[in-house]
Amino acid sequence: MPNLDSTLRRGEALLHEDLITPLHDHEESRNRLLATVDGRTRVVTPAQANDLVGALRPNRRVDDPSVPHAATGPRLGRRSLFRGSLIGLGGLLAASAAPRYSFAAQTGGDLLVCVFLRGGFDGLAALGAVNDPAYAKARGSVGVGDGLALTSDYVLNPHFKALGEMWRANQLAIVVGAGHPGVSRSHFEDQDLCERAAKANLRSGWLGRHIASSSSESGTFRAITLGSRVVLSLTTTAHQSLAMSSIESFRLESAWNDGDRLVADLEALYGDAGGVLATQARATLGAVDRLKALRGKVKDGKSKPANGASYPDSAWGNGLKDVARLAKADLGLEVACIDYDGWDMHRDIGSPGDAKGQFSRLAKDFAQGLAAFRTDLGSRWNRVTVVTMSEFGRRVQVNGDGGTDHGHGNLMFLMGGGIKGGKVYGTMPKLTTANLVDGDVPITTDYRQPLAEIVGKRLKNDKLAEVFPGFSPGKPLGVA
Amino acid sequence: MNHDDTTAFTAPPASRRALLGLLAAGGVVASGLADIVPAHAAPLPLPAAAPDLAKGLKLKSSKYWHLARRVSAAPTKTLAKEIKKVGYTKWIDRQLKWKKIKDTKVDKLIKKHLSYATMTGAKVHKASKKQAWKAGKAMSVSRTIRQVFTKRPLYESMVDTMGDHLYVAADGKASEYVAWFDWAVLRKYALGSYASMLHAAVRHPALLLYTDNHVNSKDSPNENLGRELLELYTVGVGNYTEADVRNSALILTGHSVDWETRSYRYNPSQHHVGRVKVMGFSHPNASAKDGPAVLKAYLSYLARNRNTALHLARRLAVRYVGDSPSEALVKRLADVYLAEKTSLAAVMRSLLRSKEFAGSVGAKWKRPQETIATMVKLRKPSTVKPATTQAKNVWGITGTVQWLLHLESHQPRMWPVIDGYPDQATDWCSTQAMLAHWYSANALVNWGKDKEWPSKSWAGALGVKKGQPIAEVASSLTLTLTGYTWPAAHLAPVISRLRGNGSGSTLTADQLKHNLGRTLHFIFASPYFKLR
Repeated sequence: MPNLDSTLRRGEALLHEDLITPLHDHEESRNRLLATVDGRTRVVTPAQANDLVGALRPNRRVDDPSVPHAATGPRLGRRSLFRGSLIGLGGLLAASAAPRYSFAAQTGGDLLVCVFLRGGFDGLAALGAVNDPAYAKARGSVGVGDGLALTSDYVLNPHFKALGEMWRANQLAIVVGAGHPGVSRSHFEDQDLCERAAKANLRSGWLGRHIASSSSESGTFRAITLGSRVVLSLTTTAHQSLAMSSIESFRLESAWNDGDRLVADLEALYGDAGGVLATQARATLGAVDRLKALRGKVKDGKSKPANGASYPDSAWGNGLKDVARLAKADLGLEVACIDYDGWDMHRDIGSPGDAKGQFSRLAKDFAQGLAAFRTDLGSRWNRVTVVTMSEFGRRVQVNGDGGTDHGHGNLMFLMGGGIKGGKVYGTMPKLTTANLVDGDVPITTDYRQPLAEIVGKRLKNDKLAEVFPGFSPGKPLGVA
Repeated sequence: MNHDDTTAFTAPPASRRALLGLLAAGGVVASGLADIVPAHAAPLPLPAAAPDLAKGLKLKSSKYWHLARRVSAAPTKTLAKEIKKVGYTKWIDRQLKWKKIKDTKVDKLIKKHLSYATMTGAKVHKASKKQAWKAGKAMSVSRTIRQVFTKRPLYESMVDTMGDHLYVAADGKASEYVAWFDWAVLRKYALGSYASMLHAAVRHPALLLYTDNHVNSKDSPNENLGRELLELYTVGVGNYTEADVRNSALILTGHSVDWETRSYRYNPSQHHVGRVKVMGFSHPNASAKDGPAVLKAYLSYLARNRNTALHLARRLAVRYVGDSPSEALVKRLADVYLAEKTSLAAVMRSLLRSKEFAGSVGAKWKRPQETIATMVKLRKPSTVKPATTQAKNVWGITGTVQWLLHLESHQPRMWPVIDGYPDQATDWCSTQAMLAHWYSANALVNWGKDKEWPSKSWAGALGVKKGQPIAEVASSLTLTLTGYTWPAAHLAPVISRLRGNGSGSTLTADQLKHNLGRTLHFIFASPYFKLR
């Protein structure tokens, strides 16, 4: 048994801690898997462990509330085992006890980077409707007049010009009039709604359900959030995903004489606590181990982007740089979520002519970051898809303070080597009062439509009913 | 369960918590609840509200420790002893009458080092030489100092809780006014009447600026405050229409800020005139001079609305009882809120004496401000002795502490969004949050002490001496640091850390010198320390 983790076909056997306990040893040949069934514990082979877990715990995939939970829950086996091992068999717990997660085999789909533009992105400040006098009238000096002419109808705000090359390469598409038909114009409710993409009784996000339904692998790096907490989109009880602020800072510091023992003892203690604490501690310690190895591959400790890519020096730029680094390290990354905050501009959104305006500055940072990301990834870009979403669009009419209030329909950016770009999808009517919904852009395309096409075509997951329960895809837009 | 008895009790397993939930709903007659019911002997179905944290740990604690962990940002053995000595209920009642408890030491420290946090907007503008934005950060730092030194832990905890409810970020749009908001609104009413608090908040420059209401006028209405008033501060989402939001915004037109005096001002010329209607509230609003009276009546209506009562009751129950409190408890607390004229103290009294509270041991996960304040306090700092000033480097007043809070994404009032910091376990046990806590614990234990917090050595502060039996030191340290009695299996790695390569049963000078740091780090990093 040279390596427990790579021998296990289904990594989640190790997640069922009440059934299977791996005991690592300094000498790898002495590593053992222990299975506890009906109160009896015995040594099993990885194949037996898989069969056992497969038989007793069929993958639930999503957190369907109709699946009943056991009243007492699994707990006794592992705890009693560890009691024994801590008191009598302490030596069995080797320093390398941490990485319990398997590496994911690729599911064959793209890496999806999901960007949430928090605060309510103003699609009308990004994209000007040049043939619509109602747009010009409502938006006045903050409207987009000149810039990157995308089609005969639409002009992109000039501060997104770094995306020009991507557009010309037909790798950038825009969907207008997109949104969730149920938005309420509340930041929190609507972020929740868009990220869950399901009824409120499902406490999981669409990307969490994608991860859980596309493969039974439990790889630590299948899905990550760049940030301090996992975004709702990625939440599911069937798979705990990773949240990290940066590759550089993700390390476990300890007293000079504690190091590896701390990892083993913390994992055992949190393992005993069970539930979400056990899973989170195990994922944390596993990731610490892998990222340490990743950092170790760079000689001077500084990783440089490839192909001369130049990221803006911002939280956004640095976040994308880390996503690219993880993608290039072949850790099995399938989904990366990254937030871009600060779009809630009720006042002084600024005109496209003013480079220092609120919207202009963020737009430039946003575009430059993504352009650098594409350059950095080189040929890998062909297997990467980027989508942006935001909780709602903003009111068509600028308010008295040069800002915009919460609205309805919005635009989405879709990017990637496999996106059928160079095109604006969806429809937006002329912005005359009669065409608006309470003064807002009407939602003419359910945002799940382009997402469903991406999940199916680019992520190769055909379980759309699990990812978007209650949504029936309409006529394909053809974005992917 | 008699709240004044002195027997220790054990946290119920999940099924017993479920039982308590049912009891709160009036479904089962109580008897013999103080007995520990093993999980397998009581196979009750788990309600959705069952706390699921650390379900594998058999938590042994006392009700005094339980109360201390919930209502103090920095619970200690001394506090648990104090509660026991005074009596459980009596201690709560004393804490609720917070004005009678002098907090001289910490007040003086704030006055001396963070005076910006005690001034009005106009005063701080002058005192800081037009750098009033530093006041917000001074207030943020003051929270940590208060959490460590206060003698009114329950009151200060409520200041933080209500600070997340009527949230104004220390940084950004309202930074010059938010410190004033802290003492004139949050600190003033944290255990007072919510109706008064709401009225004071909505007429305060900090909230008006934070929600752009200073520019909300009849000709160009700005809906930001009108909407958040309904969604976040009162009835909650789902209980109003878009028309209500528009009317709510119209009621708020003209309530603005005077840049000369740096204070609240009502501008009648900006006020929308004509009938307004929000839910069951209606007012002719016939002339511009009626603005303040309409607002007062509107806020009074909102504060006393049943949905507002439920919203606040839920917030307090989530903060102090469990992540998914039972509907029965929430309803009961809402009843108290309405019957007691929106008194937050009355709601808290009822909450802390409820069976559901008593049965919720270990059901909450501490946030970083608490873990850091506790670790700082356990070293028994005598005072705060900054090497800098609020004018020069306000974050530096408490040494590395604000930096650690920043790394853990929990600097006081520095959440970037208007809904305030979340307070449920899933928000604070991400991989990043776990790692950041372990990092902070190591920093506070093994980096050497901050000179800003003059204190003893760790051994001195915790009374660990050479010659003490190692096993006893392990038992006593784990209990002192976490308030839970650890089982033998979990004491084993603690003992092993203290012992190192040595073989004797009592602590040697070398073991004390080299092994105490890693032992404390392990205890602080454990789930026991994180369970509120």
